Amino acid sequence: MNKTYDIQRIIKGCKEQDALFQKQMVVKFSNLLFAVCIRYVGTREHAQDVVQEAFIRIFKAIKNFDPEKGRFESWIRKITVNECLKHLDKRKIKTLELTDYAEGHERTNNQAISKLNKDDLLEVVAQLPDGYRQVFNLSVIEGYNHKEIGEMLGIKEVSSRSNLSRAKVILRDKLLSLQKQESWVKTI
Amino acid sequence: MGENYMNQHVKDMLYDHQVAIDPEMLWSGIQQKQKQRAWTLWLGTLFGLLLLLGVGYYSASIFNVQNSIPILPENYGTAAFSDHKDEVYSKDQDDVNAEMKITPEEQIISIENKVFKTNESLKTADKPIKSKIKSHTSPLAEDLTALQSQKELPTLNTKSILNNTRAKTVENKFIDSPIGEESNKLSYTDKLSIDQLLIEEFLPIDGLDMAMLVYNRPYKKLKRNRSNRQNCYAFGKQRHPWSLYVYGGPSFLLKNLSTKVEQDKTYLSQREATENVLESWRAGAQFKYKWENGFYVKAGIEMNRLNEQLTFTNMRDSMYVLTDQVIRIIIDSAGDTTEVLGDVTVTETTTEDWVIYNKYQFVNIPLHVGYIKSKNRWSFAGEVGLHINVSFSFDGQLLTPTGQPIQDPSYFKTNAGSAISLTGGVGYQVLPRARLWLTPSYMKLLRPINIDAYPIDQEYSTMGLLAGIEFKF
Repeated sequence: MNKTYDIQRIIKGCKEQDALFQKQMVVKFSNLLFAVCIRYVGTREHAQDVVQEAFIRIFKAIKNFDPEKGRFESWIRKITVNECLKHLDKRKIKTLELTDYAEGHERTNNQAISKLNKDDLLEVVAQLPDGYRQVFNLSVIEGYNHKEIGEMLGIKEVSSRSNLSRAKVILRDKLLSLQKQESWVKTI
Repeated sequence: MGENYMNQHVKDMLYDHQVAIDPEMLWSGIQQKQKQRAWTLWLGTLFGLLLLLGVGYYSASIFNVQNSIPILPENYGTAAFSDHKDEVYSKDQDDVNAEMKITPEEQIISIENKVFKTNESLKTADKPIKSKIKSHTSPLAEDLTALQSQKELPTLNTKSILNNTRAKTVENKFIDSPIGEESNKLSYTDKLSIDQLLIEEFLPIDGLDMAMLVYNRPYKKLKRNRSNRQNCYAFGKQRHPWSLYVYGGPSFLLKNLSTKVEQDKTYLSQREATENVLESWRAGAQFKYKWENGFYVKAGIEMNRLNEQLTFTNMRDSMYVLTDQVIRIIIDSAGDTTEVLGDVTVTETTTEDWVIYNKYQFVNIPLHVGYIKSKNRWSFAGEVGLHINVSFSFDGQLLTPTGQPIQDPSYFKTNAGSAISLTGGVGYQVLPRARLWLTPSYMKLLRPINIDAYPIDQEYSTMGLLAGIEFKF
């Protein structure tokens, strides 16, 4: 049975490029980072490749990690998000620039969201069109503002806002659609 | 509030959400990628070092001005020697009245009197030569001092002496040597073994017809100096069995996709329609051993990279429902309008233009057998080779049989097997120990690079023009 180590020991081992601790890190964080990758790239196949790249990048950069500047999980999450964006850019998937979409069109159905479990919600988010999905993840889940998102994706700030609005509309409607299906199933 | 609730709720649910993935599989994939990158880095570094070494060697040979050591006493002008007999050339002596030095390394082994049959022309002095020998450490120094005590030495017609006193073969060898023409030295003759040069000098001494000073000069002390004379190298046949060959160049990639199964032909057409061969290149370094009969063997390491472009358009439909949309407007007789709201199903079609660059990378151990024929500075060679693959990797994406792009290296073998090659070559010797080569080469992989379960066979061959430089040890 493999011995498990605390995170500080794993970080120290990874800084020394010790394969044992690198593997421990993969074991400890693979599920979390895999979920992040699915949210960004949409499919498990692509996410698997990206999460591998992310770990390689983490192993290379870990010597620069300073615990005083932030949590380790936030740091590896940021690296993973960057790898996801790089991957999407490599696939030539660009964020659509929508500037003429009127805001204030959103409506939420809190009941529909509340009923979903995490995996279903992840699936719904992963099904968002590529460009919208990036903005949605960066804004709603990672908490970046539109200016930062614009810089990260190379789009205008207003486009980021529009894409987010559109993403939310699509997400809401997908959720409603799911809810209706569920009600129908219950009726039967 | 509703929107904020949704944002917060989604964040709460997904921020730390985890999706199970097999960590062992992930770890093995990471290790494989790291290994591939390490190989690439190692080979790149090796190639860079070899290139640097080659360029450094070449540059040092051409531009070695400051570090050059005169191979003859400095006042005697400079000269260039190869380490083979019959190939001694020297720069013209600029000042025949300069002092002559024998360096401490040059051990004087004998001084003896020689009586030559001289004629009047030998004693006819055009101008006097003051020839001194100094800086020596030989036990025979005193004798030399005695010799150099002669203050006025007649000028010799060295060509006459050569004609009269040396064997015809010797005369032929060195008659073109400028030293013999313009100095009071008759010749530099290699009479001994490969590790030293026996030098004979003839000095006219009063009371004697001629004195012959014989000393040897260890070859190790002889250094090339090209600073003053560019064309003083010897390019004759030399015995250098070992050499290092560094090469690289572009290739045309000939790809062959095939299948024997009828139902896989649609997929085959799809693959052929979406993939374009871009280019490929080969680079490597090989050690070569050549026998005197012209046959040689080569072995080393080689990297072969094939690049292709995958281009296709993916249409993806995304369906969603917009609620509370105006779906009908009723205008009554009074002109009033009533909007009827309802759900609208919208189908959004996303068109993705995919351009993906795929890389197939091979690391091979090439084993070559060939034959070389040289004439003057030109060489012609032909060889056959077996390339044993030690590492193969695929980086990129392919279409699946269902038409989706997927990055899955497991479609490919981890070892591409062997390849055979046929290579010709033209070489030109730019330096005594360096030869440039231009070699057209055909290489064919002996088996497909896909796994057997894959619906089609993917085979490659390349036709390239490689350029390289060979350094003889």
